[in-house]
Amino acid sequence: MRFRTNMRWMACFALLWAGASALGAPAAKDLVHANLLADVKDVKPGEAFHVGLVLKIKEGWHIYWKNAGDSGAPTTATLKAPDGFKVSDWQFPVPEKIADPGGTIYGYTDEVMLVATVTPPAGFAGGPVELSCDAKWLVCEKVCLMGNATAKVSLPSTGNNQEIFARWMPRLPSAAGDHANVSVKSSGEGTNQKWSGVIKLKVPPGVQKAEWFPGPSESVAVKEINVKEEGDYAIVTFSAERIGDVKSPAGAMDSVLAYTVADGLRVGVTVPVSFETQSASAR
Amino acid sequence: MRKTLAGIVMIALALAFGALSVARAESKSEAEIGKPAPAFSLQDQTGKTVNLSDFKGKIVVLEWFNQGCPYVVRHYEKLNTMNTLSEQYSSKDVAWLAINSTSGKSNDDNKASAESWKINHPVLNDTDKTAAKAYGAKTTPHMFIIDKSGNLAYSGGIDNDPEGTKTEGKVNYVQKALDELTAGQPVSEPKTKQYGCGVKYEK
Repeated sequence: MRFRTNMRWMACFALLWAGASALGAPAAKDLVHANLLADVKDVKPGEAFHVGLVLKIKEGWHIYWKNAGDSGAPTTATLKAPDGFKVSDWQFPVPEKIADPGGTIYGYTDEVMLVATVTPPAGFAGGPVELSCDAKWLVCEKVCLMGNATAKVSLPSTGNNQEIFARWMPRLPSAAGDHANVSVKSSGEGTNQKWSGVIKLKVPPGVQKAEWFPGPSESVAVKEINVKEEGDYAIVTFSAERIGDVKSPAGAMDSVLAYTVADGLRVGVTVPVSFETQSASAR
Repeated sequence: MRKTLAGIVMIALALAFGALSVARAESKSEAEIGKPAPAFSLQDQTGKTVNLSDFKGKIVVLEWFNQGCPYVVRHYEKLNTMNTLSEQYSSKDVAWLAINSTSGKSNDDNKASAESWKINHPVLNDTDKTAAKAYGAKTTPHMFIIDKSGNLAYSGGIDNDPEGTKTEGKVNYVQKALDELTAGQPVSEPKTKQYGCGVKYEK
C-alpha cells in the first residue's frame, strides 16, 4: 500500500514534469522585458540626447540582431516623439554569434540596449515630453515566441542612467572611415552571380576574437566567412551568392567587424560593402 | 495497478528526457539549385512511408514544418497559405509535402496538427533530420521546389513578408515559382532569403 501510494505520487510528479517540459511553453512577456531610458534628465531646445531601449532577456534565450542570420527575425523598434523632434534610426550594439548547429545566428543574450538620438526643435518651449517605443522581437531557446512591448519615458525625470549608457555606448559600432579596405570581386551573372570579398581593417594592437557580421540583405546571401587578426589588421574573407529578384540591384550592406580590445571590451566598426550587379539580361 | 502506474512513470520520464535529449549534429552538404534533389523516405502522419521517388515526373513542394513555431502557426491559422496553395496546385500535377524535423515530434503529433489545421497533404516525420540535413533546411517554414525532372528549382522563403505586416508589394515566392514551372518556364527567383524559427538541430 505504501509502495502504491509512493508510485502514485511519483506518477503525478513525473506527469507534471513531462507536462511542464513538453507543453509548458513560457509566456513571451516573461522572456523579454523592455524599458526605455534617456541619458538626460531634462529636454533643452536644440540639444540632442540619447534614448536607450533596454531589453532584458531570460537566461538561456536569445533575441536577434538586425541581420538575424540563417534563422530567426530581426528585433525592430519604432520611436515616437512629439512633433518637431528629430529621431534617428536605432543603433544596434555589436551582436554575438550564437551557437546553433542548424546555421549561424546573430543576436543577443542576457541584455542589450539599442540607442537612438533625439533632437528637440531649436524653438522647444519646455514642458513635459513623452517618448514612446513600440518594440517587437522573436525570442528563441528550443522554441521561439514572438514578443512585443510599448515602453515609455517621460522627461523631465529624476532617473540617473549614466551607468547603463556608459556600459552600452562603447559597444555601438563606430564608422570605419579610411581604416577599412574593401575589395569585392564578381563572377557569373543573373541568378548565378557570385562574389568573393576581402575586408582589411586597421585595428588597435593586440585585439582578439575578431568576428564579422554581414548586414541584412534580401539580395545577397553570404556563405563562407573567415576572419583572422594579422599584425595591425583584422582580415575578413567571404563568399556570397545572389538571391532574390535579379532584376533589381544587389546593392550594399552595412556589415560590422567586431573585436575585443585590451581591457576586454567588445567593440565594432561598421564597414559598408557594395555588391556589383551583373544582370543576365544586360548582355 | 502497480504496473499501470509504473508504466505511466516510465512514459512520463521518457517524455521529459526526450525533450532534453541531445545529439551531435553532422556537417551538412546542402542541396543546390539545378542539381538533383536529394532522395528521402519518411513516414507521414498515418505511418505510411512516403518516398520522394513516388512523385517522379511531378513538381514537388517541400515545406519545412514545426507546429510550435509562430511563423508556421501564422501561415496555417491566420493566412491559410500552405493549404490554399497545396490545394490550388494539386490539379496541376504539383505534390505538396510538409516535413517536420523538430525533435520529439511523433507521427501522432503530426496527425493531430493535420487534423486541427485541416491539412490534406502529407506531414512527414524527419525527427532524425536526414532530409533537413540533405536539403540544408534552416527555418520553419523553409520552402523548396523540385521540378518535373527531379532537380531543385527553388529554395527560400514562402513570401517576402516575414513580419506579416506588408500591405502592398507582397510576393508569394512559391506561388510565383509554381506559376512559372507549370507554364514550362524557369524560376526567375530561384533563391530567396528563408525566414522563421530555426530547424532544431540539437547541439
